[in-house]
Amino acid sequence: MEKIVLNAFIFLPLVLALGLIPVSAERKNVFRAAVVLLCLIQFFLSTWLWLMVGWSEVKYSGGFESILLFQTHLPWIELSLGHQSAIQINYHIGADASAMLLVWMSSLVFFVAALSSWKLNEKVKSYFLLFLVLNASVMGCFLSLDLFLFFLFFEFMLLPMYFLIGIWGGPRRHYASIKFFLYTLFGSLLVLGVLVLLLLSSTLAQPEYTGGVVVHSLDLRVLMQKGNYLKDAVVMSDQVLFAGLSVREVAFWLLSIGLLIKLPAVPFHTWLPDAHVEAATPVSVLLAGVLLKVGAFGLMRLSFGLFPDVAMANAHILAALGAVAILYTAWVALAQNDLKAMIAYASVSHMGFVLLGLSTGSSVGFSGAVFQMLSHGLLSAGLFLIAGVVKEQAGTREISGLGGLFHRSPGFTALAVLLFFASLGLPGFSAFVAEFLVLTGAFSAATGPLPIFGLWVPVLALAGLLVGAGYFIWALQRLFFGPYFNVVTEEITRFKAPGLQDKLIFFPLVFFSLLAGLFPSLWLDPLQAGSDWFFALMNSASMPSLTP
Amino acid sequence: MIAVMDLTFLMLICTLALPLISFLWLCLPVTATRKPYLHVAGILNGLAGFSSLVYFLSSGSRLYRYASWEWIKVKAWNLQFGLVHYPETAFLVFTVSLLSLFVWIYSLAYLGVKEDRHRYFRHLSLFIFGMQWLLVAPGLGQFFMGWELIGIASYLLIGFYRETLDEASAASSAFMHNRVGDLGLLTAVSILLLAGGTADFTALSDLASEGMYAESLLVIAGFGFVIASLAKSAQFPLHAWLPAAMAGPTPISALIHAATLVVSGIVLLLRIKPLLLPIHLDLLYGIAGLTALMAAVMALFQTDLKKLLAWSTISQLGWMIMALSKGGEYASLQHLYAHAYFKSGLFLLAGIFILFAQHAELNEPGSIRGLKPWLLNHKVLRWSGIVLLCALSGFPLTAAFLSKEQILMGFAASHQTWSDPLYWISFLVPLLTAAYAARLYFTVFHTGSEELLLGKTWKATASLWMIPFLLALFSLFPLLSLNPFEGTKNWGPVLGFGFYQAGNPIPASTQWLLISLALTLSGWIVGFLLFRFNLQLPFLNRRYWTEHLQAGLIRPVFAAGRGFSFADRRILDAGIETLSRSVVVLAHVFKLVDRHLIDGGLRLFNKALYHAGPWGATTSEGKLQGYLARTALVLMVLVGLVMMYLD
Repeated sequence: MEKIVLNAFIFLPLVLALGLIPVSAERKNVFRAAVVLLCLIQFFLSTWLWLMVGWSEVKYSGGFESILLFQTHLPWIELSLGHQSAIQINYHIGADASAMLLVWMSSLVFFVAALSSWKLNEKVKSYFLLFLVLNASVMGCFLSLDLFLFFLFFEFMLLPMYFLIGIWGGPRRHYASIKFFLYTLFGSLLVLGVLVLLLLSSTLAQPEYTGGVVVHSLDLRVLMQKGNYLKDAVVMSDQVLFAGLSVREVAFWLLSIGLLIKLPAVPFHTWLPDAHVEAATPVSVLLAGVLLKVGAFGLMRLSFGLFPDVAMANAHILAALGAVAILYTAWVALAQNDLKAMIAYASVSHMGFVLLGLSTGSSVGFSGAVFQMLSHGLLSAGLFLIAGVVKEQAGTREISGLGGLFHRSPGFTALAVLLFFASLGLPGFSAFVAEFLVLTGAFSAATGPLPIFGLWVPVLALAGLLVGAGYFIWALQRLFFGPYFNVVTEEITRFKAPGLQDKLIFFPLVFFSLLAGLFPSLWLDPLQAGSDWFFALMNSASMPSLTP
Repeated sequence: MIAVMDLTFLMLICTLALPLISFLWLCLPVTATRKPYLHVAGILNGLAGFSSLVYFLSSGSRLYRYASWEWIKVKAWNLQFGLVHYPETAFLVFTVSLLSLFVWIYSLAYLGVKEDRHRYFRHLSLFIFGMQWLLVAPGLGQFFMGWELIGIASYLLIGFYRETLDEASAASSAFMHNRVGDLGLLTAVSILLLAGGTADFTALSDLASEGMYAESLLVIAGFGFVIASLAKSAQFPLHAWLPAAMAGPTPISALIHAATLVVSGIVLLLRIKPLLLPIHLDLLYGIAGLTALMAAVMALFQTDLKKLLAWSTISQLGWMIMALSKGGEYASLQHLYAHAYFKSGLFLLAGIFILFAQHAELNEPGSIRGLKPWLLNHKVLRWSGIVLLCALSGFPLTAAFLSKEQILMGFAASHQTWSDPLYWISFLVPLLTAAYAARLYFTVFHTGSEELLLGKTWKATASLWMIPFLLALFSLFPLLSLNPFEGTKNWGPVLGFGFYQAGNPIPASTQWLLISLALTLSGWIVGFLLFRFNLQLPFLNRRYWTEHLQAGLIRPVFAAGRGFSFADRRILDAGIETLSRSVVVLAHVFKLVDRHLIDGGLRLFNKALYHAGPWGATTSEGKLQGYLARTALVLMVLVGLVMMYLD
């Protein structure tokens, strides 16, 4: 049953999309209702999978396999490369707790985004069809255990997102969507290159036992064991390719850069503010809430999972990237005048915690990173909804062009204050737990017996938190307090208080953020097996190069 | 783990839960100025006050852990929520409830029927809950949560008046200053958790006394604690937010910025004292001493009543931290209690004056300066004011007299020499305190002529004047001791319950009683002389530190932000844009090459063939020798080329 449900996450939206194709584009409410309903079903199913299955009982007992549940494993493509070798690609999906958590969070964010798309009135049919394709491919990314499948979904995400930004966006949407497309396509190419390299280096069994026959595979379980690489595989050798980097290191960096673009991390982040500023509100919600997580998830599974030795050897660089991203983008956010650009930079800053948490190589850091993905998914979705309401009601998102919105809508102000404070790490909300775990991981990596990096890394992150409080507080002060004014219109009645449905949409986000902040064990206990796996992988140097 | 349910525990739960329920109640989306809506919350808080009294009276003199449960748990460590009875701060739990109840009643009258006053009471409830949550915290995790909650409640309450941006920026300033301290506390918590696996206060003290922590870690953690307490208790260099916070409603200043929130820094120091190394204590002593002196001088020359009281609070807090860092836990706690009552009383009194005079200026005749004729009609206010100012000065028969004497004896017992300027400061601060108290008395209570107040018929209602009066009563000696001249005889043992028994009380001696009295009296004389000769130092009323902070830190930070933003847009992004442009340009070049060179070459060849056609046709005249000659020529050229190549 659980297996079927897991597959349904991918196939339900696709089937629905096919079913909706013949429906006339005039019947807008059919599309709206169908998609909202689908997202609701997905949310209930994932909640059921999260609660009813004893994720906390799953124990790490050596090997990635031990933390996976509900695997579906079907042969798909077999390709012969001459008579001695073949490629085997499987439809292989399954979940560990972190993947399941992200599926749960994504289904919630998709639900919220679908609700907030209700008001959209142009080209409704194509919008919701693209929405469904995006939904399916995101779920596929989190659930696939074969890298070919992963890459397929990873690429497939690009297309609907490109159109969603490019068609329903703001005035500079074409520029933004092409920038988004090129950037992420470039990242995908890097990932693809490394995947090909991995594919050709892997084997299901060493040729001496199979009479010289090599079957290549991109199955994650295969790739995570060093016995499954050919003895002369270049990707395992530390033969220097250039600039003192071995092939393995080059492969690691190419893969990581590909995924860091998606995360995004400084200096590959400049596509994100543009994409956010131009995208429609629900698209921004999806972009921040869900799509960035795919990059982070890929980084965790692929860069750290397949190259743990290189990742740990370069952990100080990754941690520095994370810490710099936290501080630098927070600082840039301080100078933004567009509310959405500010939130976009804040988003990059918060994703820096994911990178920092992973690069500590500790189980606390891992838990913190995954928790941050959850928390950021909920809170950034909320923040973008806030920006959407401001734009809709006030006609502008310019922070300096607005003031005293409190006097128009105290209720909405309370909501904004709540979300801003939750995002800046008020204990009791999820962001605090995530940031605290990551910081503790960073301090342990900096002060432990074998420090991975200096104390300056957590100190930079702390400084980032301070600046982070600064931009949130300053934006609150300028937007909501003081006397009311609005540059767009002199009309004093402008900025109506948002209606009840506009406020209710925040409820699930705030509720779960609060729940995760007060009872983090509901999420942290199930993640324990995953963080044990991560810790063992990072600290055993289990994949040394094969050449002596 | 929940221990046996007894009365104390039940009352402790009520003390915490009722303000929380009141907060949630006021969060309900009822658009009401209707009284029942608000009064339900008021009754809840009244019950909370009653519960806290019963809790305090029924609690024992031993630390007792009533309940605890997991908050954040990972393999190596966990943070816990819980309810713990700390005998030394049990009275503070009661004080917070009582003062907030007073402030609640006072605020109803002070705010009048303001449309959105339920927002004020909602945030007030949140504050009460946060403060109690902090006080009963079993460890640093919950403590931090309470610490943040009161910070945010204070942010919201300072900015309660949303008419101008001044309140909002004062609130932001307070929050950002506190945020610096929060990060210090966060660092300390992280490091201690990693080193010992626990953030529990008792476990931390035990581990520290067993020497379980590496000294380098304790140094970092200790600095984190020092920064945290300096920020919350408004000590230099993180003091500027407190005078600015006076932009908020006066009852809030009385509760939060005099009696409760600002003392949480001291509570923190009290809880983690065993972890502090001598270097931290010396640092605290030095900073607090300088702050106490500076703030007392500022208070002496302030012309704004609320700011005067704010500087006085900073000074008094500095003085308490000085005492604490020299081992006087008992004395500084006593002073903390005494100060909480008389300072909030003074603030609430000031609130009434401000309501009457419509502003807080002390220098202009007709404002708060010279209220004598009005106060002669308001005997209760007058006498409450006199008692509260006596308490501020540490005059005999007030509680502050006892605590002051304790603190001074503590300093004397800590083996310091007169060559240490900080030792001088510890005696100078109470003298200056008495001086500004006296100056305030003469300015407000002692001068004034009838005609200045003509036409002002406003009278304080009972719920306004009653509260400072009650607080004046609470400022008298029975608060701390049954004997007006002996601070160690508190009435805990008499009534048979645990009273604040932390630290090391020192029995009073006649010598110190006299010294203490002499300091008060000489301070009064200084204050009188300053008033008599009207010495003003107006430059002390400018916000130098804030201005320098703006110019030296805030503006550069924002400028750097704009710089980074520029770099992000114009350099990083532009670089990539140039790259993509050059790709497009290259594509155009390729297109040109494609169209003109390759394509064009092909067309040229075509053309050439076309034109060569007629010419070639002339060669086909059908003569054999002609063909042969041409074939030979071509062959010769070919052979020649081959020969050249082979050579």
